[in-house]
Amino acid sequence: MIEALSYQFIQNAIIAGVLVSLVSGIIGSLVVVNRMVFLAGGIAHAAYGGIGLALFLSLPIFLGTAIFAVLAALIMAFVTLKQKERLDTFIGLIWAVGMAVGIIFVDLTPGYNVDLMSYLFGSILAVEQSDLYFMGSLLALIVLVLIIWYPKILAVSYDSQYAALSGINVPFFYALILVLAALSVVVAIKVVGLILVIALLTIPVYIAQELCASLLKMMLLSGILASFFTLSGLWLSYTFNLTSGASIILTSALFFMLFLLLRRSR
Amino acid sequence: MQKNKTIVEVTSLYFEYGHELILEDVNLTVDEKDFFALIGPNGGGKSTLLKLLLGIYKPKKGSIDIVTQKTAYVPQDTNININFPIQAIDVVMMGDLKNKSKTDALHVLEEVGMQAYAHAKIGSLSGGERQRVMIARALFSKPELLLLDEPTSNIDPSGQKQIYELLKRLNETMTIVVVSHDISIVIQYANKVAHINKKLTFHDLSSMKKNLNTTAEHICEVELLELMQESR
Repeated sequence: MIEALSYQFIQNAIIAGVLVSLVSGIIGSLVVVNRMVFLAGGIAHAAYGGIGLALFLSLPIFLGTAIFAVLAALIMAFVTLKQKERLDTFIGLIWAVGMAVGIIFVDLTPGYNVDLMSYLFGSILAVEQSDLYFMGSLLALIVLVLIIWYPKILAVSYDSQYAALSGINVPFFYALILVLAALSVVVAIKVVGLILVIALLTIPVYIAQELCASLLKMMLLSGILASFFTLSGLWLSYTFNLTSGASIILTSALFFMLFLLLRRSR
Repeated sequence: MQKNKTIVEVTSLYFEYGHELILEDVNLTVDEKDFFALIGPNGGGKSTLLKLLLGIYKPKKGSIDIVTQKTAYVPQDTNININFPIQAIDVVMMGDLKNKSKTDALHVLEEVGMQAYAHAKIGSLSGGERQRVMIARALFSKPELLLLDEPTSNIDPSGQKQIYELLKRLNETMTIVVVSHDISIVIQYANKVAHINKKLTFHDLSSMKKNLNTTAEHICEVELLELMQESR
């Protein structure tokens, strides 16, 4: 294992794992307390449309996926604010249409046999230097947003009606949270894949929510837990030659069950 | 007795939801230091009227004039986001995002008898305790007009009395408008009552209260009904 650390791709994987875990911890906390888990799931799957588009137009994958995911997030924000009772239908629609668009674009891309599995289940061992910059920038952006707006984001997340009465622009913050969630999903796809994104956004967050008495602490603890699960999963994946994304999620799930058992026995 | 200044004036108010008329020709005056109760059946439009006063809904016809800018609201549902990781004191401080003073927040928690729970997680409190925190959140913005929607709907009878005793105390310094369906308890505390079922019927209780035995724990609703009919 020590010698493995000298490989560039392992180093990249570790840095990416930590960056994405911190992003997931912060944004996952916001997604969970705002009950947006399935919105984030819909965005994750719709993002596959962006992967197909990027391959077809030879754009950087992150760029294409980000544009598509943000677009899906804005549509979801709009629907939530205008027609909340139809939201589940729209999530399903965007979910399926996004994936279908992606598959058609991949079909149309000449001579390119894309490895669909790596997007569905992640490819943390194939993270490149440029991916790390994207992940780092996103983390910086999220931290910046929190520094500026944390009290307002907290108010909107806890009680949006009261926040609106206090004069806070609730639709703006709602859309902002969803857009950040979309960007986080895009980077998380690289690590655990779009099918497993939801688990990374929710498992550490659930544990942290039980243990913390403030949203900020919950974000930090979620990030730390996610990093621990991701690195443990990565180690298992490398040692036993297993799919990295699935290993990370199952490691998280194992610790989650352990947490539930410990809590019950107290 | 000198008449207090008018703080809320509602004139010929109409409100529709979809195509259904919810409020019809509602006229209402709330004076400073009133303890004003809005009663009526479910679906009669009392919460809707409160939301119109708050500006959450816009009237279809008619006008609402509220003299003060300092209005605060206590919502009916205190069970929203019960798993949210937040302490009572932080909920209170959401009442006014510009005021960062923890001392002020502790002070309003003390006012509602909840200072010992300042750092308790909101989900660990009982319904009545949470209701007090919501009242403290409203008080944190130093309101002149306090609007409450069914403040005792999730609370046991002894807790209900405590909440109303608290409101009575607050009424010494501010105007209170409370929506409730519990006529017998409201009548002991309110000086004005309006019954809403699409239309509004107004009752000034200050004159007829002396006819009531207010020391009793519970006032017979039949007796009340008779009194109200007399006062028309």
